[in-house]
Amino acid sequence: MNDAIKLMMDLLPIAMVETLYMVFVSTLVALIVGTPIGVILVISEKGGIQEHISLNQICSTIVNIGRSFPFSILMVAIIPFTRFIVGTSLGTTAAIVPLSIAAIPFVARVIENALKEVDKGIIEAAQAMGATTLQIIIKVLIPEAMPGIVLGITLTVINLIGYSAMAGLVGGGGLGKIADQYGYKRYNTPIMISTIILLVVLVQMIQWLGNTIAKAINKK
Amino acid sequence: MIRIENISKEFTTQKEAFSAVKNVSIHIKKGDIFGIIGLSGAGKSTLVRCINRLEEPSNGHIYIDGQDITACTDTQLREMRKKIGMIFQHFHLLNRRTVEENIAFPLEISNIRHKDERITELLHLVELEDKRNSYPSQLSGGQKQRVGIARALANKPSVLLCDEATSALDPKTTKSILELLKKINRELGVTMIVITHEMEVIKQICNKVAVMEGGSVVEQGSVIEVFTNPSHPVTKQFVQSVSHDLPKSFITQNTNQKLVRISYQSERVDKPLLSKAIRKFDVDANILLGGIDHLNNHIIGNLIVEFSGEKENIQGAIHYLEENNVICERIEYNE
Repeated sequence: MNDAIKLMMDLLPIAMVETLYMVFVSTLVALIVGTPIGVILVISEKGGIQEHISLNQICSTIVNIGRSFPFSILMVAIIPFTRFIVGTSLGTTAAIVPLSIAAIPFVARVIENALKEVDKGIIEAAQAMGATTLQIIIKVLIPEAMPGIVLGITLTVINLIGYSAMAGLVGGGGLGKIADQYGYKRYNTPIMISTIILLVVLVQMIQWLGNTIAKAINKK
Repeated sequence: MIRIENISKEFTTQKEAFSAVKNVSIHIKKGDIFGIIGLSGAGKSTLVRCINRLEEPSNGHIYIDGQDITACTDTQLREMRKKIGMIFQHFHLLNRRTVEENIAFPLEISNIRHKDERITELLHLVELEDKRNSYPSQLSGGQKQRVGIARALANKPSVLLCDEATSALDPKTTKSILELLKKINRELGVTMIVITHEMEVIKQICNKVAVMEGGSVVEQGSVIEVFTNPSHPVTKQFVQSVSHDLPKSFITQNTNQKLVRISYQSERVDKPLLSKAIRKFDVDANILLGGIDHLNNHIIGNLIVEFSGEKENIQGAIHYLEENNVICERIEYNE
């Protein structure tokens, strides 16, 4: 029994850190790349503040293609690209590449939906005051949509926790790898249950945090 | 100041083209409070939105201080917009900014430093000093519109466009907002264009008015002219909506009587015209209803009088009144 607990204490903290590392970095990358795409989707649409139908269609198509890949397939399909970026397709850092790529189109849609919730009248008021498109994006669209964006990021993070566990099955690190190698392949039920509990608690905490922040910054 | 020349605006949907504004020309002088009244769908809102090009006019020109805004490049347009304030029916404040930050917004856009001083000044003007750090959701409708007004005035515009600015407010709040607008017009000399569907608004603050229907201006002039002598049916409707009127059941059939609405301005009240007419033409006058309206320091009297007597005598009396610049409008008896 002591051995089992010792093993858990050896494995789980590191796996937890690895999971958080993968999720955190890929969320960050996805936000950096996905946010501009989401903004472009909103401002370039018909009747948007910088209408550009063909650009809108190109972005939308790319996002849709990205979103049509099931994560398990995307992960193996882009192994050459992952090798090119990180030098290997194995390990925690390598998993960040497919995770980011899967999250970018997701973030783009999440941001698009949040920005679309901003009252058109407020945008018009800013235009009437002589604001440039960039000023409207930075000072009106994004700040006004912030509560929705926070909830969208929460959704993305929780999604990525699920994906990261999947990455653990094919050479990624984190809780998914432990659950697979010890819980599944070696029939270590306590470890299996512990990883599940950890994942459940993690998801609950992130959702709670997201809701709390969104509520605090919503001034409606 | 503002010259709207032959402005038209067409909207094309996939099926058909719809012209919201048809060939409208209006000249607005500096310091005017120019009202544009019309029912919903009359095109008044589209017209005012053409002035700062929130709506691109399909045809025509708009000159603001001599500069043609319809011919501006995007950069020039943005600069001109900073000098054209606008307030809206639903206020359109930034929900996640405090009152202070909302007023700071146009100043940020214009890269103005020392914003605090200007904000304090504006808060004092709209009497909201105590709400400086409140969020819009914590304010009443009237207070929100005051923030809207302060925000619109931040860059010291020469023109203020008011698009149904009081339509979402209760009558008491409407009155206080209109008084504030009037004060701003008087003290800062800001020219105003006021879009409304309520004659009451025109009556309270405007000096000029244009009446719109079906995209065209059907009547325009000074408010007093239009008020005392409306010619178009729509205008008459609007004027009646704020003047005292006789219940329909009062109007009964009688050939020896004639029902007349008499309107007169303050300059004519020194002569006892009505009693003179009665004596001169041997008719009886029964005053059924009377009221006095204030319009921009002018007083307009309104009477509904039932004349009875010989037909020719009644005609004569009415004619006499008309000769003395009293406006008489016959009210037809119900069939």
